[in-house]
Order: sequence, then C-alpha cells, then structure tokens
Amino acid sequence: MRVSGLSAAGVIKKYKHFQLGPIDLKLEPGSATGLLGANGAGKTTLLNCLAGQMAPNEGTIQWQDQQISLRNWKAREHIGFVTEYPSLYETVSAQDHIQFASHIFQNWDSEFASEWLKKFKLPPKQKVKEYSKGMKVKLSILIAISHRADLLLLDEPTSGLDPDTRFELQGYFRELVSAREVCLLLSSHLFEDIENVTKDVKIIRDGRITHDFSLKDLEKYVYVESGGSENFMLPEETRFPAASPVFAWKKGSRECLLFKKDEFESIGESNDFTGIRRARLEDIYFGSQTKSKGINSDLKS
Amino acid sequence: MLTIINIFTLAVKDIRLRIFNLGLTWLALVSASIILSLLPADFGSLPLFLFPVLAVAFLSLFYLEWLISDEKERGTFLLLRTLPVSDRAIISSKLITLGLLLAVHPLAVLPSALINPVNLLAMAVTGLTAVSVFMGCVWGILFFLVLRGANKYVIPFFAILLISLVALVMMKKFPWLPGFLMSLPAHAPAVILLTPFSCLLGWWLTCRYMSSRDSAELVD
Repeated sequence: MRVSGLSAAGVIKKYKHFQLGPIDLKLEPGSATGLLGANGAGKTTLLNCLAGQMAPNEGTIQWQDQQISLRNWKAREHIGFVTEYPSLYETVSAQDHIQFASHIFQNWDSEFASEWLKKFKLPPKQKVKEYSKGMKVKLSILIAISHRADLLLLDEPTSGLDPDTRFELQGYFRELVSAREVCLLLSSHLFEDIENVTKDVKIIRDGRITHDFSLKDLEKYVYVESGGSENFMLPEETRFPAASPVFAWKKGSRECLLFKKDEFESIGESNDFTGIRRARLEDIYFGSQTKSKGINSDLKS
Repeated sequence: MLTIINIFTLAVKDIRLRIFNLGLTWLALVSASIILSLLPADFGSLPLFLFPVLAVAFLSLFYLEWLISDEKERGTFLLLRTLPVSDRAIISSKLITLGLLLAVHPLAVLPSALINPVNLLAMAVTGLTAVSVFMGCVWGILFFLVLRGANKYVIPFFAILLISLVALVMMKKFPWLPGFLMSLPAHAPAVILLTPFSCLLGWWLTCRYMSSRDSAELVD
C-alpha cells in the first residue's frame, strides 16, 4: 500500500530499562518537523527506527510505497540519515567519499554533489581526519542528500557546532526543504534550530510523543511569570477561576504559566505577575516536561 | 548485477583505505623472499618456506583487524548501513578483499623464484597456506564481528583447541574410526565438499548475524 510521505504505525522498541512507543507518526513530503526531547527521551531510537537502522519490536514504518526496515536496504535509496557523530573514513578525502557513494547509490546526482561541495566550502582533496567537526557534519549531510533523498532524518546534527556553522546549516536545511521538497525530521536540543528550520514540532518524553503542534500555534499562547507565591501548590482552578493555564511549572523561585491568549485576556493582569510575553517554543517544552503540574492541552499528541 | 557492482565497489573502497599499508606489506614480502633466496646454501631451504607461510598466518590477523575491527571501532559500519547495500554484499565484499590480500602472498614469492627456482615450490606452499587461511578467515570475520578485544583471538583459539581435543579423544577411544572413514567410498569427495560447505556455512552465519543486529550494535 502506498502512503503519502512517512508513516509509522504502532512502532515499539523495547530495551531492558526503556521502551520507545507505541509511536504513530505521519510526515508529509516537503514538510519540516522538529523533534524535541530530553536526553534519553527516545529521539535517537525513534530516528534510528525511522531510518531503518534499527528493527522495532512491533509496528511498521513506510515511506511512500517502500517498507522501511533493517532488511529492506533498497529503501535507503530514499533516505538520508545524519547523526551527531558522523561516521566517515578518516584516512581518505571528501572526494573519495563522494566517489565511493556515487558508485553505490543509483540516483546519485554528481552535479548536485559538486555544487554543494562548493557551497559547504569543503576542500575535496583534504583528508577527513584534518576536517573540523562542522566540516565532517557537512560532508555527512552532502552524502546523505546527493542521492536525491526525499526523506532526510537528522539526529542532532548541529550539536557541538559553533553558532556560525549552526546558523549556516539551518539555512541549508531550509533550502533543502523548499527547493527539493525534502521531508525533513530534525532532532535537536536547541530550540533555535527547531524554530529556524521546522514548522511543526513533536515533543518526545519517556519514549512517547507527548505533544505535537505547529510553531504557528505559539501565537495563541501567552507566557506569564510570577514571583513565586505560596499559592503555587493550589489548584489552578482556585487561583485562576476564569481560565486554567495550559502548563504551570517552576523555574527556580519563579512560577511559570502558559495561558491561551484569549482566555488570559479574561483573567486580566494580576499584581502577582512579574512578566508577560508571547509564548516561545522553550516555554512549551519546559511546560511539557513537568510531571506534577502538567495540564492537558490542545498541544497534546 | 547491481549487487556485484556494489560488492566490488565496497572491496575497492577497503583496498583504497589501506593502499599505503598494503603497498608496504607487498614490498616487505617481496624483499624478504628475495633476501631469503640469497641466503647461503648451508642455511637450508627451511626459511624460504617458513617465512611466507608464517607471513600469511600473521598478516591474515592484521587484515581482519583492518577489514572488520576498524569498521567496528571507528563506527564506519554505520555509514555502510546507510547505503543501499545488503549485509550480504558487505560481508561478501570483505571476503573478496581478504581473498585478494591473501592472493598477494604467493605472488610476492614469485620475483625471488628468478633467483632461486626452489622458490617456485615455496610459492605453491604459500598458495596452499593462503587458501587454508582464507577458509579459516571466513569464520574469522564472524568472530571479529561478534567478539570484542582479546576475545576475538582467545575464543577462536580455544574453539580450535577444543575441536582438536575432541578429535584426539575420539581417535583414542575409537581407534578404528579413521580407518573406517578412509574406507568409505565417497570419503575423498566428502572431504573436498566439506571445505566449501564450511566456508558457506561461515558466510551464511555471518550474514545472518549481521542482518539480525541493529546498526548501533555493529559498532563499539
């Protein structure tokens, strides 16, 4: 059966002390989605399963008409997968890597590869061991995209890179999505990466996608900070009878609240509030990570 | 057809990665064979035969380190797994590379045969050793893939020791067994078939092991 884009249904990967899933996911071609989560939340496991690098215990993953699995190596013609630590042959050059990959991939686009090699400013004849981390990531991306991959899975590719390189890569990722209609899933710890590259966000926690929303939705929320009163432990319904916050969490001695914009207007400003601003991605993320005060919201998956 | 191209591309990649080391090895082998053929006659011809045979045995372990352990330790099995090639193609390419590397050994003895014709015999002996070592290396790939550190040397060594011990005990307990086996009408073809069967079994088990492992499990 042919599906549009990437589809994951009931994906479960079990470990001794951790379980990913069940995960149900759908990504459209040409879409850019961010995956946010704490260390150990399951981002890498999920991306490995989606890239066909890991066999899930249950569930199916499909890209268009291809089943993605460890054994279906032919599906890799459609997938570009980049990890935080690029696996490259240190003793040879970028040119050697490109030459090698061009013989393996059926759809290798040599013109595109040379164009992006120049764009990335990678010295083609220099040995990879002499490359900086950023250059290695760029080469890894180049290999992942030059076979006209239409599904690009990026597992924290910008982690540990300097701000300049990160900013540069964000631009390239945007370009890939807009110019080549690539379906991109970017996992990152960095809110800026997600905000600058993607349109939709999924938050993963304890192996499950807990929140799924569009960055546009942030406009609908207001972040409110209060000095931290004894009232914090009181039920929100008691403190804010007109509207209950979407999230409430503590940041040091301060209390952070996230309200729906229209509902917040009905509360009016309280003397207790020390700051009010438009909600940011980080607010949703921190809110989603709270256990005791997390409140159901329409951001939920 | 595509798989064959992939296998050879992977094998060329493996040789390309070590071309400098391999060149040096080839040079050392040729030089040593020539030096040994120039030895005075009172040294006997034993070094002439012993050196290439020992070189095949020792260097095969280095080849396995280059082909398997390096990919594991440097994490490049992860890169191979992102390519549209099957695990069978990866394992087969390793075997082909290994075969090519071992084939160099008898050829390295050839230049010295111009100096000392006895070396033609040494070349044949080296060739036979290389074939035997290659068959062992089919299983060696599996051991190097599954085991880590010193275990990849120690466990196969003990496995061979154990098999030898069992064979010795069997022969002691049933002294008629070797004679009986030799008297079987098809004993010669059976022995000949057993060798490729063992190689095929080793290759199949290695492919099976690899395809049952997540990519992250293939690297250290």
